Amino acid sequence: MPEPNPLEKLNWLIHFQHVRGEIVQCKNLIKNEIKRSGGRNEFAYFKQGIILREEGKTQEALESFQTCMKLNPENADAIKQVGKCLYEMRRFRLSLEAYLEAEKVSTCPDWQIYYNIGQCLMRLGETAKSKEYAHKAVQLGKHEAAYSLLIKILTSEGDLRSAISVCNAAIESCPDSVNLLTETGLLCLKLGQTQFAFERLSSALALDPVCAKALLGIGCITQSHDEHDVALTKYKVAVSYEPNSVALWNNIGLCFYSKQKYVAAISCLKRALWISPTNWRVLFNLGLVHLATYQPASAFNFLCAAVNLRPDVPHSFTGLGCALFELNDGENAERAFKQAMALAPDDPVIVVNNVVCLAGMDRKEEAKDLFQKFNSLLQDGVVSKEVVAIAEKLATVFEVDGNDESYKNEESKDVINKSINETDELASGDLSPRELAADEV
Amino acid sequence: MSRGELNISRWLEAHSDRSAGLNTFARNAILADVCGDGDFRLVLTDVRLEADKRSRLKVYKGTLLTSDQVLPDIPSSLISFYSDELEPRVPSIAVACGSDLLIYKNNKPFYKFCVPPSPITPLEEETWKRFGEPNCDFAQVMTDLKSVRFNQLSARSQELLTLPPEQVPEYITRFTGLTPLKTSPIVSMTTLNRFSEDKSAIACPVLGTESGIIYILDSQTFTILHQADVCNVRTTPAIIKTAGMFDVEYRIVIACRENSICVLRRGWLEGKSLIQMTEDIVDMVLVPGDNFIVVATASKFLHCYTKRGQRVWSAPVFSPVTCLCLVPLKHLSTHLIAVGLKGGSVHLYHGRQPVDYTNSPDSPSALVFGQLGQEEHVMVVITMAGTINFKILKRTADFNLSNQDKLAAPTLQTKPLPLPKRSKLFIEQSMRERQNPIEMHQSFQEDLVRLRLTAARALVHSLTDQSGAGNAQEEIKLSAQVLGLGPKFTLILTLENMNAEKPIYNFLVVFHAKPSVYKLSTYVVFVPLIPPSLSYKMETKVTEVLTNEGVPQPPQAIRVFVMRKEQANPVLAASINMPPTDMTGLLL
Repeated sequence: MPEPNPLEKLNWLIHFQHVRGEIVQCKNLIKNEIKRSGGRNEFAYFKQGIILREEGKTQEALESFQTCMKLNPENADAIKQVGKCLYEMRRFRLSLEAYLEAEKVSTCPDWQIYYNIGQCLMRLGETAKSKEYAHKAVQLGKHEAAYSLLIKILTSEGDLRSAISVCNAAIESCPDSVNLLTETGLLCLKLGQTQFAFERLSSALALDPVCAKALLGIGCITQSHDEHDVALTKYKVAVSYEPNSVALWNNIGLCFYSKQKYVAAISCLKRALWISPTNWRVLFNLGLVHLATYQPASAFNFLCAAVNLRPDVPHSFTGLGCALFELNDGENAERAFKQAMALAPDDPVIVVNNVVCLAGMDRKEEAKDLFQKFNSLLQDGVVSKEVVAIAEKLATVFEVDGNDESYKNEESKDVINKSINETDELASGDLSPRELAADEV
Repeated sequence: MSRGELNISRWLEAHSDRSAGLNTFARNAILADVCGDGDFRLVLTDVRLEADKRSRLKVYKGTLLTSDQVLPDIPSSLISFYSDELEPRVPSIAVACGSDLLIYKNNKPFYKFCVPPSPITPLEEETWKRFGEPNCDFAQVMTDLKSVRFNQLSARSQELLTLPPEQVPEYITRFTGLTPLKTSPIVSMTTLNRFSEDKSAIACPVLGTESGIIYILDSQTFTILHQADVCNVRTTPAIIKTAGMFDVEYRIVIACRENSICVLRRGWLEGKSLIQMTEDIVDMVLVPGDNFIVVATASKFLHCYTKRGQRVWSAPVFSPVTCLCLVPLKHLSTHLIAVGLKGGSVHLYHGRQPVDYTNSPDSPSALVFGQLGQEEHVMVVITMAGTINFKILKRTADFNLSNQDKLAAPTLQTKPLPLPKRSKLFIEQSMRERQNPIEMHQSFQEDLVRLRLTAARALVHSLTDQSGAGNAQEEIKLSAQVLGLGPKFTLILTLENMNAEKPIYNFLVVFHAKPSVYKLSTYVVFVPLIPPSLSYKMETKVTEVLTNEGVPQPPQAIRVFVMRKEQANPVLAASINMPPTDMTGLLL
């Protein structure tokens, strides 16, 4: 008398057909196997669940895994899958419970469980606990995903230095990970370690020459060194792979602006704005470009929007003040400058713009007072050449006090434009890395 | 690699048979000198999953089918190995069917090896003894059986527990007296050379079972030389590959269903998990020499790891991988990897670089490369649709391996940025702004203020206006109809439940009218349950109170409130403007 076939006789075939992507055949086989076993084949249910989840039928998948758990309550893999389904359904609390259960059932420590617990905890906002589990996962597995989670947690906590040291450890264990290399590069960039950032990003690009994020970072570094054409070629490659990146279009716009191609700058910035209409940086840059093309009415609108979105940025107020000054609205211009000065009293760029506007409004005494303050600021800190040039011009203007009116007006107008240039230059310099940060999230 | 180089194929299409109708899986086709005459044959299994058909073991001489034998069960794996050094050298062919290993020699069945059964629980053994006793109460004993964990039972008991009650006695009597065995199917196989690296040296079959045990067998006596667990946790082998020699030092690399890769070395009783992947493993090969492990995953990637588990490279492939096959090229002293891709192409990789490709009629299911007949370099592709395809590698093919370095990273095409042309309108507008920015700004601000005023007015208006007779939150709608000319009117209200799922209940409608003007037949109507998407109509008679002179009063509105019982705030309020009483009607 032949012994009956074991239940799990064709499990290997179920798995084989699934990984080869023969889903239809695999489903048929599963159906037959479940029928043959009278609904007792644990693995068939397990695979059925996985296939259903891959097809996006999360609820049905969950039921399948639950059947699996009923057949064998100690199957940690099935519990893990339940957790995964719940995570995909965005029920993080339940998912966390499932993974904690899996941790209990599982006979030996499993980095995946720790990693997933960490991820659930992070979604639930319990960062401290999440960090603990991410640490555990990293120690057990040294896996790229676990490292990424830990880096993400540290970055969100603002602990960039530890994040970078984790990054370096991660790169040692996964030296060919483009993501990790890029991540490290961008973190270094945020901390201002430009040289190191450049190295990391370059090695990322060596592995994947079209990695848009790394190209953006490299472009940003070259742009801040005033090599606008080099930066542009980087951005061009990146933008053909990621045409909807706000940061890319913003930086391209600023490159064109620096090359004084204002129309191109405006169209790039407007594209950025179209992708993300409430991005204050783009609005601010658009305002500055419009000021440069002497379109103060448009500039006013963009700057106004920027100020409304982020009322804590002094430079937006300075720009707004300049726009209002051009629009002959002295009263409001003064208010804008006052706000800017209140937010950042020691910023020479803001002060010099204020001086120029006051001079333009014929309020020499106040202008002179402020100019003195500006001079003292100049002695303290390091400022760019353009600010110094404007300062010199202003000094001559104040000296030839008795000259006729028309000449002075003309002169000051010239100065304003230059000083505005200055504001933007600064903005583009520190804007790009910050912009990157926004893009990462 | 330029297109021109690729057009001249390095492969000769020797034969292709679309009507072969084969269903052969990866690791189920081999090239072996089965007759010992130096004429290598293709041996494969043809799987039939249907219950009424049998799987077969087929041998092709050249392109001709020369032997066709029925297999007792669905085969999972096929290997060939030399078991002795007797001349002429004839290798054995071994097929894994269920938990049996069937060994063939000279195309004839030669031996059958059974995987040793795993121990069953004492309770189960005890139960089957009791079944054998006369006057046994089956139902009573079966409850004992149920207390054992289901997956620890033997197949016999598992089936018994799923049978309908009326078949139980017959089933039990069939097996009385025999101790149940718990066997585990063989899921994967390979061979391991015994003491020489030579191609035709004696080798040991290596079996992996569903229960996660690896057996190394002696090829002559078919006794177990070594037995080990795949890993310290429960893992099931899917693909097994070996390197080294059994008598010296060896390394068995096992890709598991749980997406881990374990390694087992000489003398170990338990494998060690080496790599943990996050994606499903489709196929794996070991590259001799470097001892690299190349893995194809379901996420369209090839990964290469060192023998210590460090990743060397990853390369994306264009479509899902169905199978891998090692292509050893002795004359170039290198190894390529043939990658079968869904859709019907075979790509050859040298390290991470694709160096060649060739087509197959459809998605390859099994790939073998080696000697066939007298020809040394033949690739046999068996596709999922059952076609068998023979390709011969040209002797001149060197795959340009020597000038690999020239094929550096692809040059990036720098297209100009897709910027829109500056339109005339844009220029004109900006010129206009440049000319009178101040006026523009002022009129814009003025209009903006005006717009805000209009918006605020509209808001105030809509806040004070009570005409909206619907409640979006509660999803009910009220409509009213006034019939009649006066002084008697009929007011018909329709309350509609807009919600498609929930019924509404506990509602009432309250009428509010000045008693000096209108008298109503009812002032409160209790609304019964309204099922989803249905409406309820209610009728009220309204009589206008005529002044003493019989003159109608100026019409007024009647207000209607829909309330939920025991709640002070109305769910919905509406006012119904009543028409004036028709004087002419009164006069009549």
